[in-house]
Amino acid sequence: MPRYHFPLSDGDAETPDPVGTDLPDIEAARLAAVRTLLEIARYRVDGAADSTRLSMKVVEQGRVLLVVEFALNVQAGW
Amino acid sequence: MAHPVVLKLKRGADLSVDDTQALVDACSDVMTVPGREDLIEEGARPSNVHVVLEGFACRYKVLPDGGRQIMAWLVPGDFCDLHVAILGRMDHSIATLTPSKIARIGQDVVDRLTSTSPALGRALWWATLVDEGILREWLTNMGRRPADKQIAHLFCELLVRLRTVGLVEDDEVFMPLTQNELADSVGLSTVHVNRVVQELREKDLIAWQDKRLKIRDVPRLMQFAEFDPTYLHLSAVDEADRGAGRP
Repeated sequence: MPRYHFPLSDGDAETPDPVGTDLPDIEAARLAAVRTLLEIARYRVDGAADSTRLSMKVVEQGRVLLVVEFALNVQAGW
Repeated sequence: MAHPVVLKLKRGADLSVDDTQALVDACSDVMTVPGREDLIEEGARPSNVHVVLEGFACRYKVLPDGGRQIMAWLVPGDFCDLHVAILGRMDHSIATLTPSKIARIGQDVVDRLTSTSPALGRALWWATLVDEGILREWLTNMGRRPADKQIAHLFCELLVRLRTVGLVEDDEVFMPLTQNELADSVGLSTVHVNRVVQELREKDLIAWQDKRLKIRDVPRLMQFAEFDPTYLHLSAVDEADRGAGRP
C-alpha cells in the first residue's frame, strides 16, 4: 500500500505529517483528507473570526497530489 | 489475590473470602480466543456470560456503509455481557482485539452467585453501572472534546482501569489496538488519529511502540485530557461506607 502524508496549513504555518498513513490508493487518500480536514475544522474554527481557511495536502513520495481547502466566511447581511 | 475479576469487583462491594473464591471458581471455564474474532454477534442470544481474563476485547457495531464504531474497550476483569440475562438479545457485537483468555460463565451460575451472596449481586450490578458511567464519559468525549484531548482521555482511562487490575508497570500498558481500531473507537479518520498520536509523542506525553503504550507524564496527560477518574467509581465501596455512616 502506498504511504501518503497529510500536512495541514492554517494560512500561517504548516504542520507536517512526517509519519504518514498507508492507504490503498489516491481515492482513499482523497476521502481521508476531506474527512480529516472537516474533523479538524470543527474545533479549529474560531466563531469570532470573519474567515477561516485551512488546507491539507495529499503528498506521496514528496509529490503533492492533491490540495484540499476548507474555507468558512461570515458576512454581515444587508 | 491477583485475579483480575476479584481485583476489579472488590472496588464495587465488600466481598468476603467466600465471595472471592466463588468468583474465581465461576471463572474456571476458560477459552483461548484468537485476536480479532467475534465472541458474540449483534442479534445473538448468548447463554453464557463472558469475562475477559487476559487480553483485550471491544464492543462494536457495524454500520450500513461497512464502517465500524467501537463503543467500549474490555480489559481483564471486565464482564462482556452481564446484561443479556435481562435483555435477552445482544444489541451490539463483541470481539477480541488481541489473542485473549475469556472465561465463560453459565447464566445459571451467575444467578446462583447473585442469589446466594448479596455482596456479589451488588458487585455485578456496580460493574454494569460503571460500564454506563464509562459510556457517558465516551459520549462527552466524542461530542465535546477535540481529537487530541479525546484520545489523551482514552489513554488516561485505560491506564487507570488497567492499574485497578494490576496490569500497569512504570505507567506503561499493553495497547494492542491498531490506529484503525483507535480511529473506530473515537469516530475520527485514521489520518486524523495518526496526526494526533504524532502530536502526543512530540509533546512528550506518550510513547507507543510494539503494542506498549507508555504515559511519559501521567499528571500532565491527565491535565491535558481534562481527565477526572471519578466516573470510574473505583471508590464505590468507600463511598458506600461513608454514606452508611461508617468511618
